[in-house]
Amino acid sequence: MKTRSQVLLWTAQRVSAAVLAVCVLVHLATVIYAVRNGLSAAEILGRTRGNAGWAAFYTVFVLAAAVHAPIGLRGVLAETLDWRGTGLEVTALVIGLALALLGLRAVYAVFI
Amino acid sequence: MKSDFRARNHPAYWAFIVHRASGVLLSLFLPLHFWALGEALQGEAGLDAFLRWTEQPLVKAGETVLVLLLAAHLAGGVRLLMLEFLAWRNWQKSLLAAAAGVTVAAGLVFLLMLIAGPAGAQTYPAKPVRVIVPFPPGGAADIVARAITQKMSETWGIQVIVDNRAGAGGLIGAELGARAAPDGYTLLFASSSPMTVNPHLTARPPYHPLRDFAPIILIGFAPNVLAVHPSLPAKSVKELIALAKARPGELNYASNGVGTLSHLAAELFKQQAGVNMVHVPYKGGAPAVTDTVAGHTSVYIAAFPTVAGQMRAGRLRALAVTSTRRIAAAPELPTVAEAALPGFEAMQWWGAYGPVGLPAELVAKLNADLGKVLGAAEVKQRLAADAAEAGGGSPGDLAAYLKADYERWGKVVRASGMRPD
Repeated sequence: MKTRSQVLLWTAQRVSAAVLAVCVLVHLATVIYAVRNGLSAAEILGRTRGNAGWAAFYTVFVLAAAVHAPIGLRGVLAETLDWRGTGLEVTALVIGLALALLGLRAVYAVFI
Repeated sequence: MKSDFRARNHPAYWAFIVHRASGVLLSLFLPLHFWALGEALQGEAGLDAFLRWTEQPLVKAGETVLVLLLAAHLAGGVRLLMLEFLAWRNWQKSLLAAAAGVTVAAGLVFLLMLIAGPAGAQTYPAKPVRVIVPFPPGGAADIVARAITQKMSETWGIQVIVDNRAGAGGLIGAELGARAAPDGYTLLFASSSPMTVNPHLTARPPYHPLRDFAPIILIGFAPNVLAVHPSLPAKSVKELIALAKARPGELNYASNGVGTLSHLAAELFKQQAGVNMVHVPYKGGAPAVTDTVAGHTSVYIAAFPTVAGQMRAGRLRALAVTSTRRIAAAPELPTVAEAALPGFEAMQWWGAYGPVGLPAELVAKLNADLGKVLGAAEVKQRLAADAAEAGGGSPGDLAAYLKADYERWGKVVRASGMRPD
């Protein structure tokens, strides 16, 4: 892989990490609020459905995870299995796309 | 820009290894998590099932592992980022970066403890427990609740406080019970009215009896009594029906509130007897019985404990019980079915509930402890004095009973033509 592409992946990995750090904290705080207040299923969905702000937040969360995880896995696979070439890039891409699709499907179920 | 964290002699080598290992495990978990959410969240019922699933001990353990993995990953990541971007290489700065990582991890673990918040069954109860009774003091629900909470206080050595929250046929108190924190320190002792009858009569009930509660145990049940003011010239059910037919719309009847079993039983009586009486709803059994004794209302169908004292004192005339067979506490009273209306039945019953999300181990402990209290001879005697029988069984038994009764009264309400308001 070209140096430029590697730099791009390195940057994407660090930027998505910073986004994820914030998203994880906000997500955990939200879960704690729901659990501590004993919100019912109907109440949770009542607050999430149709809420564009939360939908946008979780979309960013999912996309950041879909960028961060495959780049990290790619590095681990390359170093531990000494795997290089197109096969590795395609695998990382498929993992990223699968994560994005599954994540966006979950966002759709909760917020739309 | 290339890091040398892989070198064993690098100060961040182990942070790097932990970060990578936790990252791989999290990558395996994430698609599973997204898939499960997408599958489960196909509506309220799906989310309910998902929330109940997350209460399983194994799933809770999995959540703990997940948060610990996140903490480890985040801690390692913070440290690596600081070392990379700030080019911290000497050991003091490396130590500072490690401290930053550990602080982030500790913060996450603290959040985990908050999530795990509700007290475990081993230490429960550690402070007074509030029992919401959605009717005023003096009514049947209150009498039964006080008999049981007194014994619970003795058993636990912790105060169990009855909190009467009356109004809207029990909807107000029951809603408080549904919205309480699922920590076992707020429970609901409700009669069947706000759980199986009233929700059918409310356009937008503030809770769903089958979805918003964690059933604990069936507390007990009792027949209702058809009673009249002694001045009324009716000494039997047949005479009451004849009187009501002779004076259509002139007799009135008290109830514990709109949508209570007391109300619906009277409506069922009106339907089956073909009579017309005017409904006067009260905020519970105590004010209803007081006004019937005072003669402001003529007829009253209520749980036996509510009217037993006034019946014995002669201030109310009981005509019949609404159970399918006569009761030991008042064997002289016929059933409404044998006296005039074959097939008539309207039993009062009470259940103990927590809010949905009450941990399964707390439900199990409460079921076991309340089961022992209900089995105690003095509690049985106390309930029998008011013609009530102690219940029992598993949380599943109560859930099944609740569902069946909810559907039964739903049919009665629909057949009566009453519309939700």
